[in-house]
Amino acid sequence: MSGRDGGSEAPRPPRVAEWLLRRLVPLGTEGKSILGDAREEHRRRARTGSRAGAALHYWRFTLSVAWHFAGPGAGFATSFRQAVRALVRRPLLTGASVGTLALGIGAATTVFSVAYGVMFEPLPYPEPDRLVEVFREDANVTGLHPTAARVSGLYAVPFSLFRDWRDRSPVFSATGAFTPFAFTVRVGDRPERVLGAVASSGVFVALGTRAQLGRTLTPGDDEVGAPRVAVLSHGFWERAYGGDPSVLGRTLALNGTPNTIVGVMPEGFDFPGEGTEVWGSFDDASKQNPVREAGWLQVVARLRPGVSFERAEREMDQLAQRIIEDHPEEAGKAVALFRLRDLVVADTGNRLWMLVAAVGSVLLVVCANVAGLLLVRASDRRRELAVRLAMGSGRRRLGCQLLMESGLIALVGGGLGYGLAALALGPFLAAFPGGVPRASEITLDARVLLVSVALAAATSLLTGLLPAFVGTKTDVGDVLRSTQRSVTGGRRQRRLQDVLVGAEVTLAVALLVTAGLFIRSFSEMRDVDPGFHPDGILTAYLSLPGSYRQPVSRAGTFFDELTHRLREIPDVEAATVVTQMPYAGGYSRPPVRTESANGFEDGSAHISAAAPGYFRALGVPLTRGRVFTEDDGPGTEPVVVVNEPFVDRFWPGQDPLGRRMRINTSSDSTWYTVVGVVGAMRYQPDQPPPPEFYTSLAQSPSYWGTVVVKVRGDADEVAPLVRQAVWELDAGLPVTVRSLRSRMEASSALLGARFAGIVLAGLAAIAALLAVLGVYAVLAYAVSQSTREIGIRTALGAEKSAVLTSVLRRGLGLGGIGVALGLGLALLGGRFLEHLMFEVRPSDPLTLVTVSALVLLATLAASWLPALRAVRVPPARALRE
Amino acid sequence: MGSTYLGEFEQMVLLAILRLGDEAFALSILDELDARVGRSVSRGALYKTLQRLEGKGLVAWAVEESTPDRGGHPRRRFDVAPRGVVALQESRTALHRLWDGLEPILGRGDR
Repeated sequence: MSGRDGGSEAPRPPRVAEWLLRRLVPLGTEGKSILGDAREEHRRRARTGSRAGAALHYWRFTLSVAWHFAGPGAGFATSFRQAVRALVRRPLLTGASVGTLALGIGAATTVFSVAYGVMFEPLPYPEPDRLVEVFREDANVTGLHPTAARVSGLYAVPFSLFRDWRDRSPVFSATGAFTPFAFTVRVGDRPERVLGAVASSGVFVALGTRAQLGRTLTPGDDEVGAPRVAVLSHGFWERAYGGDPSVLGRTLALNGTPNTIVGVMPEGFDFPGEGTEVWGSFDDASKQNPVREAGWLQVVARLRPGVSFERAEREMDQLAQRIIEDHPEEAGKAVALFRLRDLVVADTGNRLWMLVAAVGSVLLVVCANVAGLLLVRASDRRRELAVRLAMGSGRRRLGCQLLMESGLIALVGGGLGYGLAALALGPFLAAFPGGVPRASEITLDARVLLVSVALAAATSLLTGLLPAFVGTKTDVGDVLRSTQRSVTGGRRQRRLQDVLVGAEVTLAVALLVTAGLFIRSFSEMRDVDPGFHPDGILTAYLSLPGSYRQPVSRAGTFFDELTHRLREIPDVEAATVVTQMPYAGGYSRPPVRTESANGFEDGSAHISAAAPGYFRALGVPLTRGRVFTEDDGPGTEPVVVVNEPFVDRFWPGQDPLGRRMRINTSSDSTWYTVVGVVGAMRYQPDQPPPPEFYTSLAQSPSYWGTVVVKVRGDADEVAPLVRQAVWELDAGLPVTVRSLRSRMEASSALLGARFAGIVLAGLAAIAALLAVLGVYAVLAYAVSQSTREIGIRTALGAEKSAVLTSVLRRGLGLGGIGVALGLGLALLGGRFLEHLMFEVRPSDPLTLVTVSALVLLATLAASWLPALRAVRVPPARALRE
Repeated sequence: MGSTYLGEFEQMVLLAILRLGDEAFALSILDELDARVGRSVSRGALYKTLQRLEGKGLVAWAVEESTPDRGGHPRRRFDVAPRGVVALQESRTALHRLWDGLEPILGRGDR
């Protein structure tokens, strides 16, 4: 009977299952009858029941046969024992394979778990994709992404505008304003600075997280006249109050202002950023602040159910228009929405992707390496395999055993790798520059274990299929007839090995080039001219509590008295105060208006208020006019000093002395006269110096600022004296004294570049080592397999040098091709990474040439030993073998 | 020649084949076991057992014509070989000897 089904309605079994079953059943009549039974049952069930039920049953039939004929039921235990024995018989090879895999999978698991936790794990709030942050955009300012300019005065929002959004927006179910804030609190009897935030009740409603104890902020707290209240983080509650539940109702002084504690948040809640320990309500002055031009708040909101992100953007634009109609001074300002997740991940995401790519490359190198090792082993066992085939062991059975061996290697390697990752995760997170967002949420959880196992399984297949294929394709008769050593493994195997090793070298070169570029980037960044002289400078940031603001002159008096005392310390050359230091990690950049030839010009610039002696202390050159003196005090003409970029921006090619400018907000109508121009200072090593203007601290008093002390000699000895001087004036002020140099080294840009360089260098080193070992192994094996050939050739008169060069040529050939392809790969990848590098191009000739030379030298060295061994083979012995 | 040890499932399969006589096809054996013993058997286990019994020389099979439902694939009719009959007899004897005298504890076991 033909294979046709009878009847037009006859249902067919599931194709995939049938295909599988065909391959599982024994050959011959036995197998065919089993197929027939399966078909018959399928038809029967389709007739009496449903087609779906019949299909399901067919699958169960197939899987049952699979289990008993090819799986654990099929003599699994025997295969397992044989596999283990085979592995143990060659401990070096097995150990090398397991170790290499463990290294690769360990590195990969670490990086992947961090990447997953940061980029893909949903934020720990209900429906986190409906959370957005709302910013105000100023058409005058370009190029700054909100994550870089978070409270720069431009993207940030004034309280009045937040109120309008909260009360008038139709697309948000909750809207909250907040700003990160550092508070001075007393823990025990010590004053301490803690990270916190000032927030409105809408923040907690939008995020949807309830308090663990007590309550969060409520709309009542947002009213003018409401008492000041505070909510604690779980960690702070345990640290400062020992987890005492009676903490509710107690008073906590934040910057000297008493707040009543009303709640404790659950563990892990740290919005808006890691390390947030206290949330305080706004004070009345903030709530009633009428200023609309400059802002200092961020706004988080939750989209109403059914409202899409795009619709929210449209409707907020329309609302912005309506607000402009009510407040014409807001013309030119628009609204920008961002998903909360995108802001949290931001820059870190880019770096992580790069690491993922790098680790992925290392993993590929590892796979290629292990595949090469297993290939060597398989070809070594050809005789053993041929004997077993001759004695009746099925081809399939043998192939299964080989696969099981590589599976065992992958399993043990994967398990070890997971263990390595568990050890490495902590240090990795700690070393990541600027910390990792959501670091506390990152663990090696079940998902990551699954990834590890999947990686192990994939490598097992990749590395096992090749040798299994090669091993069982052995021509039995051929192998048994020939003598052992002369079986060279064939040209196909040689080509495979070359491809594998060539791929390893390619990837290693690409990694080395990338690592080299980042290391150069780091060193360029570190050596960049900051525009000032940081050596011998100590800094201490001070934030005076509320009691210093009434009257406002109290702060000024404090700083005057402090700098006076500091100058009395021997070895102190200068002591001064400034409100905004370079490399401090933050800045203020208000809108400004300058007088120009044809009226006014509007723009923005960095602002800082400085006491006399500041520029001199930092070694910033004065290029025109004068700097501040003691005479620039309250009551005298308001003056500013600007820097060169400011002049280039607003008065290019003109003399700025005597020109006037003002801070362009309705709350400050002072016109300042330019009296001097100083050199430019960088705020970050990887950013060009921005336009900046300085007001006299005496004329713009501030209750916070950085004390700058220039020291002659050993700064470490002076540091405690600085602290002491502060405490003599106010023992309740927390103060940390740092050298400016150490501040600069801790800048996030520098740390980021260094981290990238170190990690990439480490990964590249692993890849390079494996690749070079791969070259050595291939050549050593080839030589060992060809001793007879070589012996014959030398006996027939071939020059030793010819033998030497043939081996070297193969090695250098592999290295050369790998270098060429690797450079190409690196240049390709460099295009995506260019924005992460500083003053270095991906085609940097120095790096490319250095890496190429190093790798070629290394392959030469790796080829040398086998070449020497080839030459040293005495012909007589070779002929005998 | 030593006696061949029969596992419980192997015994059941042999007995089912004997009961079915000329109708001892694989699917019928499954139905018989299900009906008589209330035991739903995995297909793979049955085929593996039949293979094992054939290897031990206790079972033989002959090819029969295919039916329309089988898509052209042949059918095997199984038979218990003489050695299989002997093995069954020995198993029964052995079991009877062990069961002997245990009725008061185990009851008659009729269903």
